[in-house]
Amino acid sequence: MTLHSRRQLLWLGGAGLLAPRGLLAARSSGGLPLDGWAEPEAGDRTLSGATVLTHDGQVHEGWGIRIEGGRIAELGAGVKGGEELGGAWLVPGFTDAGCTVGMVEIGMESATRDDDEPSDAVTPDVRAWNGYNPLSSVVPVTRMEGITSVVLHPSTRRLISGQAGLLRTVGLLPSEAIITAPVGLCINMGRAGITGDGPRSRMGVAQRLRALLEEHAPEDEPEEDDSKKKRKKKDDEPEEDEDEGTLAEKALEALAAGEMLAIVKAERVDDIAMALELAAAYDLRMCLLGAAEGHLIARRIADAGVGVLLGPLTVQPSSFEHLHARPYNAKILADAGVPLAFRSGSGHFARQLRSHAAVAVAHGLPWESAITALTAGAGAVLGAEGHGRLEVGAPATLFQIAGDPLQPRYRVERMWIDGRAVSLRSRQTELFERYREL
Amino acid sequence: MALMGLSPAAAAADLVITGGNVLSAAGPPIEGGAVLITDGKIAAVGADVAVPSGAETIDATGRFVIPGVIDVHSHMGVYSWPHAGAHGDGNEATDPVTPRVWAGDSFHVEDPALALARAGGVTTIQVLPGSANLIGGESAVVKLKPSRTLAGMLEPRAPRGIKMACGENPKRVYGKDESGPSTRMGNLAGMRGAFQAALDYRTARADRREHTPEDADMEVLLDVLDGDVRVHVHCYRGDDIEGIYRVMDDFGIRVSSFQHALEAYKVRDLIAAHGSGIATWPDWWGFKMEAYDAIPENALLVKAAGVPVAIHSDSASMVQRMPLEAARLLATGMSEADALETITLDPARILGIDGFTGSIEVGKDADLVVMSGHPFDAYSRVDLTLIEGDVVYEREETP
Repeated sequence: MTLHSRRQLLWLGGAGLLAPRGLLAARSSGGLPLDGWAEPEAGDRTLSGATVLTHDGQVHEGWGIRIEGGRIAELGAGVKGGEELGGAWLVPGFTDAGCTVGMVEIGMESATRDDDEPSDAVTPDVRAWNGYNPLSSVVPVTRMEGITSVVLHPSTRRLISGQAGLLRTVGLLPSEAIITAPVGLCINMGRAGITGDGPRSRMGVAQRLRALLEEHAPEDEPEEDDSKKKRKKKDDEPEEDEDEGTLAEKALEALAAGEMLAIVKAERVDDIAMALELAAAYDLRMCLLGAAEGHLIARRIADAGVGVLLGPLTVQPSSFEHLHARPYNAKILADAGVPLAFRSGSGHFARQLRSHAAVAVAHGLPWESAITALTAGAGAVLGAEGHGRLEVGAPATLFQIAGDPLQPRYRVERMWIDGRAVSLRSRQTELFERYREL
Repeated sequence: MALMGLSPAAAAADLVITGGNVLSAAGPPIEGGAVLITDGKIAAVGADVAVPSGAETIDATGRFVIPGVIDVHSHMGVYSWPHAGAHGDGNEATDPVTPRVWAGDSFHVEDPALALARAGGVTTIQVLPGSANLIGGESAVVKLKPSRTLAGMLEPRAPRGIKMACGENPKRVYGKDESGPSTRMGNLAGMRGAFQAALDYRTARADRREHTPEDADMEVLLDVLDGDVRVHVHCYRGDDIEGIYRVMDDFGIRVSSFQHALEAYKVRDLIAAHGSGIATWPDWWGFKMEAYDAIPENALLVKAAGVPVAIHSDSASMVQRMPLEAARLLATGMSEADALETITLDPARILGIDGFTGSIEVGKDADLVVMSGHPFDAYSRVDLTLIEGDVVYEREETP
């Protein structure tokens, strides 16, 4: 018995206990592997006669892909033989560039939530992937929509909520899922950074962030410009942590030194502007998260060299913090040259990521840019270069679909992560099978 | 002078939409069809429509014409944008049984979300009270005409509707301080108690001299018991649906629809036998325990059982993209015709307004949407929204 089939049995045996009602259904299919892998190891294979969509949004008819050792060994019209796909599309796996997939099992059941660490308003040493449950039912449901990796971040309800990581949506253990972690430190501005035990106003958010950056600025750099001078003169700020060299301190020092990317949630245009101001003043590496009103200062964002983890695009002018949210936000930012990736900002709703991208296209974003934003975009914004690309030498992480992957009428049919087939079954497909006939 | 020269009849002159692909929700697609509108009603529809001379023309060549979208579950106006504590007018959570309140009395006519819904092709919504209460109050069916007054939007031909709720919400809201039900059995007992009280009230009514505010509740419940009010029950789980029928069957009350109904697929035979409809989302799930067993095929399976299925929004964001939401049903194997029905004719049936809207048929209101492409192409845009023949939205090029 292979490890793979043992895992299947484990799943079947545990199903009744794990799911009080629906998942008795697991008996009916026998095809729902616990860890998501559908074959024991990566298989070398050739897929030909396909419509290959590359991460740059180019569509190549009649191409093939040869996969070896989990990576793309050959790509192009010259790749023949193997399995003939009859024109089916092969698409690089999508990345949800900011979500809580696997961190929340049931939204309103606090005992099943691990996406928020409320013990302090500033928890730079919190690691999102420690809240990730690879066996959550949300992971396979997310995978079914073409999402092969996720940028996990802690709740956006604290001033500094912790470190984000880039994970693949398969595997038995978090260590098997991690691609790169950390990819950045999450800072939340505007209402997101205003919590009971932290700052209570935008003034407080800015004040506290400046103080933390001053306090953890690199010490031995020579003074070069105004921003460095500014750091020196503020010694009256309260100390945040007495202990030197704690993990929290180190994370903040890495942030202040520009080694750790600042992932800054900012929606209102003045919050975005404040983030850019801090980036300039303290030489931070930064990307934005959310950026609902980004289109109002798209040029400034582009000039700052700051990318955006955009969305959720479904956020319309619903609150006083989103009054200028518009569905053409993505188009304006892309026109200005801002690197983009799409995020659902959710767990259970990550499955709608394709629709978010489609809405952006309907409102003017070039389709090619939308494809890039769903694939290589997150890597480009986060500095995880190479992630999400479909090219020779890249991990063979892709899926098969009948047509344009942004059209909701098409269902993802097959998927490979690192050259290894993964299951597209989920708790939901099991329930469907069970109740298909009454 | 203007009034003398322009009679009301002239103001309601003929309008014809020509050349479009008409998806009527009442028959096969008509390529290059025309829809003739007179006095705000659909006067003719088809491939060969005799257009009266002088009719104003909208050229929809290459575009698609569909019925105005109907959302049976909206809280626009009662939870107005922008989100604000002061805009929380949806739940009269002072008592689990408040049939006497009416969503129209909370409705903010200048909720900016209304215009965005109109831009998404939505022409009619049912505004519901929230789901905190077992019996939460009456709904208001409004057409999304630009108006400064409720009277300018309210649809007088729509039957009355009342919102009820079971499952987690009432027991969470009232279980906290034990001021009401804290369990599912408490929920159903509370409903039984309310309807029984109404029957007792009817018996005693003739002899009573003094009136109390609760009388207003009883009068509404008697109307429900008499079948004069359509009942829409917020309900997720299959066994909760069964439980509602246990109560309602005893009192002879028909359930018009289950709202959300994410597990309707498990008891679709029961729903079909009772002649109810459901209103649901294409793929929402997991946000609470009773939403854990939702599956994308819910609408497919329930509709195949002969039950009217409305895709509803319950969201001022989602309501802006109803065709895109319905398009997701195609991935489950649902036909385009059925998917179109879920946002047009089926919601009209559930509200009892299919006699005058919900499809492109002669004699119905000219509630229409002209889209740049097929409604289930994710990149199509709403170009025009018409309500009763008036253009209430016209797309302008955005930056």
